[in-house]
Amino acid sequence: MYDLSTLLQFLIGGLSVGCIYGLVGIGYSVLYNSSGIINFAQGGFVMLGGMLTYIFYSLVGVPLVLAMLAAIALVSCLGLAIEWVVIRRLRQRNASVHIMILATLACQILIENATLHFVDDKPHSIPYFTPGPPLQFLGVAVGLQILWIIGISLLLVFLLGLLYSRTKFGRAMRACAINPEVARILGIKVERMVAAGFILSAALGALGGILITPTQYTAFHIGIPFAVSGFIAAIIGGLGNPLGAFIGGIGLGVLQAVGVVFIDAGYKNVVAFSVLLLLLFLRPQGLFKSLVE
Amino acid sequence: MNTSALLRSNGLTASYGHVEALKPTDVMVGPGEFVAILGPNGAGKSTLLRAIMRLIASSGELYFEERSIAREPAHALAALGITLVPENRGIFGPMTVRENLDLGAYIRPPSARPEIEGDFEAVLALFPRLKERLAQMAGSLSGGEQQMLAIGRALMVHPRLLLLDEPSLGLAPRLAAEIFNALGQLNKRGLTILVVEQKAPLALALANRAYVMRTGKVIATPDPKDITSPDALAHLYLGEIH
Ligand SMILES: Nc1ncnc2c1ncn2[C@@H]1O[C@H](COP(=O)(O)OP(=O)(O)OP(=O)(O)O)[C@@H](O)[C@H]1O
Ligand SMILES: [Mg+2]
Repeated sequence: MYDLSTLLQFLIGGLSVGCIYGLVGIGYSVLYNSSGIINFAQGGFVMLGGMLTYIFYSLVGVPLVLAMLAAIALVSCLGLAIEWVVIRRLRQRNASVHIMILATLACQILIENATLHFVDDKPHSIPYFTPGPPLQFLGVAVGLQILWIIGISLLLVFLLGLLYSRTKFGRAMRACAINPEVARILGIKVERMVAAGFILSAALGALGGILITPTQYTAFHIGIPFAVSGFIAAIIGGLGNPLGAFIGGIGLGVLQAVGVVFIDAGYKNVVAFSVLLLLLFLRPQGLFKSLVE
Repeated sequence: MNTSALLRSNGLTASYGHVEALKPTDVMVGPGEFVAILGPNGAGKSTLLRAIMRLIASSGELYFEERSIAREPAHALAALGITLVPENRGIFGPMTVRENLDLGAYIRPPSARPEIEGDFEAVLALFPRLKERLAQMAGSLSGGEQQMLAIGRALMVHPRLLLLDEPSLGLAPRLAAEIFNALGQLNKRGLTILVVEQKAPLALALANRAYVMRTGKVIATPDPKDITSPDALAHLYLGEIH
């Protein structure tokens, strides 16, 4: 079997992937908190975050930080475009939330195929945010990128918590998800809040993709696995609760890491889906309290 | 035509699909009035309020202080001074009482802070039970408290016209009386009120005027003082269409 430091090494890896699941899960929750919609194009945002950064940095030659910001801005615009072109039209036709969710899945497939067509089918990566050797803790090597991932994720969770609990804007967003009609009666422009939810969730997805790409790679097809894991994280966390989604993501990442150690790397998704099924049977409302239900 | 009307509809019509739930309807609410809308289930009372609030597509004319609001988006009405306490209250359950009340003042600018504080205190004075529960989740309030919160939240809009859809729904008689007592106080202080209510005696005790609706139209406009017995009321509900 493995010794303690190898186990810890796996755990650290699980923790960092879990943070990304958490960020994707937060993306779902943020949108759900303003619209009640689940956006399956969330995985596409993750993929594009890394992919566009690669394009701007490696192909165009823009400095890394600017490339990242440009990628986040573009993906946010894409989120807004999906809201305008797809969701808003469907809403005007009184489509059910289920139809809108299906439409977001179509967007995901469109994003994938467009990337395959306009970029390529190869894996690409971007440099670590800060070069340097990994830090050593108790015989465990912790890459600097992992510190970036954990630090930025925690910061975002903290800021979102402030947004939803302390600001007028954040509360109004939640009001739109809880009861859009009453929100309207109170003068809240519901469509604008839904659009803001799309922008914010797209930006979070892109950032997640950018953070994880240096430790792995990005390619046109990586979106759906992240979308699924992030969705599980959001469900674990009580859909609509960003902190819950983040904790759910970390839990899932660590569980998968443990699964790799004790079962086999091939069983990563088996672990993820077993967790989802168990949860759906035992506690479908998630482990944490939703902010909108 | 009454030129001093606060709210006036002229041939206001609304449908759900092919069902014309509101046939051309003329209603009027004068400044400072307390107007009751009565009628059996499915009469179109909620549909009328929703059409006034621009929450459903409608045709016909609709004026607030002689300004046409028939094409206004729903979210613009709060700023004009019209708000609705919807059927079943529509409180934000996963938020605290305080957060619900704060959202009532959503459209009011930061410069209105002193007035907002004043309205907040007035709401707590009107419904002291809310004061003890400001930090409690709204979803865990009792039915009566939720109704108080829904009304309190509407008051935070600082409306000039308050619409209410069956505020007594699901409440014990004593609580329903308490709610209407509060509405009476608000009206005395000058707030114009249009209330849909099935428990007719409660509303008629306060009303200056009343409309009776059935099958999507107004079938009678009795003087509330004339409806003194349950029989008179039953006659109106079931009686011939004028
Ligand atoms: N969303 C809807 N879709 C289709 N039909 C509807 C809808 N809402 C109401 N209706 C129909 O419109 C008619 C009027 O309904 P409305 O809710 O206005 O009645 P009401 O007078 O408020 O009744 P109640 O006292 O039961 O609340 C009814 O026949 C009802 O079935
Ligand atoms: Mg009704």
